[in-house]
Amino acid sequence: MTELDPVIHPQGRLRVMAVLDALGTQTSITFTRLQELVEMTPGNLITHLRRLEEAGYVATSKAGRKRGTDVTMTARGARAFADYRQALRDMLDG
Amino acid sequence: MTEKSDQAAAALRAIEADQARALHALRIDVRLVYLVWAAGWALGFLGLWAAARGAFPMTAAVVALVVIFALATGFSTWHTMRRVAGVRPASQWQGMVYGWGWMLSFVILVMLGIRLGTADLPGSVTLVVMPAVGMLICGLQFLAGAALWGDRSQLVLGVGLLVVDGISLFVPVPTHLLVVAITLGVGLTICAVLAGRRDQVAA
Repeated sequence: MTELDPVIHPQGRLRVMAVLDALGTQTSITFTRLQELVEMTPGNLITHLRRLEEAGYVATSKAGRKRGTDVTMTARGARAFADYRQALRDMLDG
Repeated sequence: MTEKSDQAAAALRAIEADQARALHALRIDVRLVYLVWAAGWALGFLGLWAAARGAFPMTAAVVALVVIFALATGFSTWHTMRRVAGVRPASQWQGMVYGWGWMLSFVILVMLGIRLGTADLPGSVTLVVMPAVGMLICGLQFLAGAALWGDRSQLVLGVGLLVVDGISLFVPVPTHLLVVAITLGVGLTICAVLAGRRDQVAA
């Protein structure tokens, strides 16, 4: 049976990955807007993003003082998330 | 069903719910945009028609039309910016060119209006040319938007405007203004209702 990716599995990171996956790898989102969509405190979101970035699943970039930090899902992150969903479906099937 | 498969099903549902909620928060509510523009076209062109029939001065009707369209544009822009705030596609080039297209087209339209207004031409010529060119610009811009972003609501708007534009050219002056007011007012309201039903089905 396929193992569930421990980087994505915690509820908070799963929510972040779900939202970023919905946007796709070609679209970035500001930290503030992402925080609003995933309904997390800044501290929690920073912690989750740091872990996801270490795994290479998201990329962050500074986009000027006014705009803050931009977050994007990487191609590696998109693949990992697709694998994670497939692993869940496999668990359902058998 | 085992405990593991229960958890897997719950996780998949949570992912889908999170994604749907995020996309809903970012999606432009086309119903509002349709309704605002239905009211804009209907009121603006009813005003022109009434002025052409002598109800009040044409200058007042033109000023009212400009104010109504400016308000509708302002609302559409504000709503769009609010929904997509903080989200940036890889390429902003398309959006920028599209936005400039609208602005430059309307500058030319205003220049055309001034030119026709100061030329020694019958008033009925201006009454035919200005709405026709205005609707042509809007129709083509919406078609460009549909092509750029694969947006079906803009395709409907663009085709609808061009069809009404074409029909209005065969209607006597100033009744053509009433035809535009009614067809676009009613047509865009129908689009808003259909978009609302589609959203309900999707939810």
